[in-house]
Amino acid sequence: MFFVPTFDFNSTSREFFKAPEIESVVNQRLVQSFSDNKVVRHVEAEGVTEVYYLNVRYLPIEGDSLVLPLKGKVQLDIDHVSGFTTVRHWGITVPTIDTWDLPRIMARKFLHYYSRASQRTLQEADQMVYMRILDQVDWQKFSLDRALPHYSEGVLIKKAPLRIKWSDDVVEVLPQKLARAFMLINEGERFSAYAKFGQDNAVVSIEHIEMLT
Amino acid sequence: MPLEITLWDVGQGDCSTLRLPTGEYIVIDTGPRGSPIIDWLNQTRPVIRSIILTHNDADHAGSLPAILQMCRGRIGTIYMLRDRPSSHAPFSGLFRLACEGEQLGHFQLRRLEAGEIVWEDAKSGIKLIVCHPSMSTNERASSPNQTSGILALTSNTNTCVIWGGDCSVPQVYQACVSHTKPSLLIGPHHGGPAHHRGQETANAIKNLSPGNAFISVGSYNKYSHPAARYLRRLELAGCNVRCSQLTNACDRPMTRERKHGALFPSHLLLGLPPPRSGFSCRGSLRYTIENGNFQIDHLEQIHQEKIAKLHRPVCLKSRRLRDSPRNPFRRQNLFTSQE
Repeated sequence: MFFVPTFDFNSTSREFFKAPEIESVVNQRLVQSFSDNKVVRHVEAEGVTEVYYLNVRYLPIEGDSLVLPLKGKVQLDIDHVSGFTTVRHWGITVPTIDTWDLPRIMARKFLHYYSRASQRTLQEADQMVYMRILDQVDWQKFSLDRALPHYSEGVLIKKAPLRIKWSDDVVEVLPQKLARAFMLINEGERFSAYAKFGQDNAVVSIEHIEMLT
Repeated sequence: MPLEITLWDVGQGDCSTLRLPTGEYIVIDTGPRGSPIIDWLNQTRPVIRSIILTHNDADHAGSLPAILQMCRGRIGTIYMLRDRPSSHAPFSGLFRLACEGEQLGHFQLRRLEAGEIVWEDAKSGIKLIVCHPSMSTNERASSPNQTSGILALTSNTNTCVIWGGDCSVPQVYQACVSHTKPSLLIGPHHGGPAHHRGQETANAIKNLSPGNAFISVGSYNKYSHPAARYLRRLELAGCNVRCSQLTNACDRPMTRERKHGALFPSHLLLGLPPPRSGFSCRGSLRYTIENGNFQIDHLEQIHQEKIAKLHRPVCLKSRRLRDSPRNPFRRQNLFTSQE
């Protein structure tokens, strides 16, 4: 099961990240947060650069179904003179007017490096930026969410609580919400299934159950 | 295309892949159930020339069912051995799957036995050979670890890599007596080989004299692997030790790293999926062998900087001791002492 983000970026991001709003904040040098506290939060002023935090916790990768969790808040350096905003540690600089699109730009940047690394075409020069980005995001959860289910075999020991003995002799108690998948399997019967594993090999979802005779 | 060896971080378990110059792969141990190699095979769908199971423990062969199901028709040969009775449930399950696959013509099933040449490149003279167990050792073994497979990747001039499986160090030395001074020793037994305290092990390490060692170990393993003394002995014998994950031998992963995750996400930098458990230290590791040169991946310097910040890294401390000119007596004393 995929992790559901707290709010939908696709439908609301344009409202939350309206460039004129950010500009007005910058111009008025407001110290207080936005009223809805979901856009950017002003922190401090460093000369002509003002520091803001992008108040998001996830970056959408595949809409709501796959998101990239952030470990902390992303820091934005907004330069009034040049009119550009820099995302600290991400190697991203955009015109301040485009700040509303930052979640998408950041997600694209991450996916670009991720794909390059998977295809083994990541240059050494890009590696440092990629490493800094990896420090900012929960790549482990992202990788696990992205992984496909694995074929597994086991024996249904008990239905309530849902207890499975896997083919490697490990006995695991699965969350009861997965019990519906086993409605046709009797206790003591062997089965095969495609299981999606999360952190510490805990089963997150299970599907395509077949009986093994 | 150079020969490439990837040592996977699978948590507690063992898994290595060899990319051959032809682009085919050899998988040596598949890791536990939920091993990240399954995710990688799902993504890349390579042709697998051979899968070799050094033995049938869950941490070495647990993900074989998933791989057989997924890579149907893309596997050449599976090498495995009989290391426990047929009534043993996990083994019988594995064996049944392997036999079914062979009957359906998906792959060949062969016995892992000393003397077998798994792969040979006539051009470079590099070959992957099975050094252990022989038929008689396999029959006489009193435990699965005793009959675990030992493999060596050798070239005309030197020994490149030894996979020690779950054997003891003296066993590895005896099996590879003609293949000493390997560039890389994997394991054996996740850094906690049997009798690692004994003088026999000390002598075996000294005679084997590996240049590098990779310990594939899980942060939360319940066997206290790796043994700090074994790592120290390897370092003092001139070997550079790298562990896949942080353990209590080096730091306190459970308290310190829980907040920060892995020490070093080498998997993603190498384009590999991360493990599902534990905290990576060196994580996955890649070596290339080209024109007789044995080269480690370019992430080593970053890793060295990271481990220098650890609480008590056994590898680094022992290395400093080894390299210090002020401690010649201690070095010798530690290495040869009777325990």
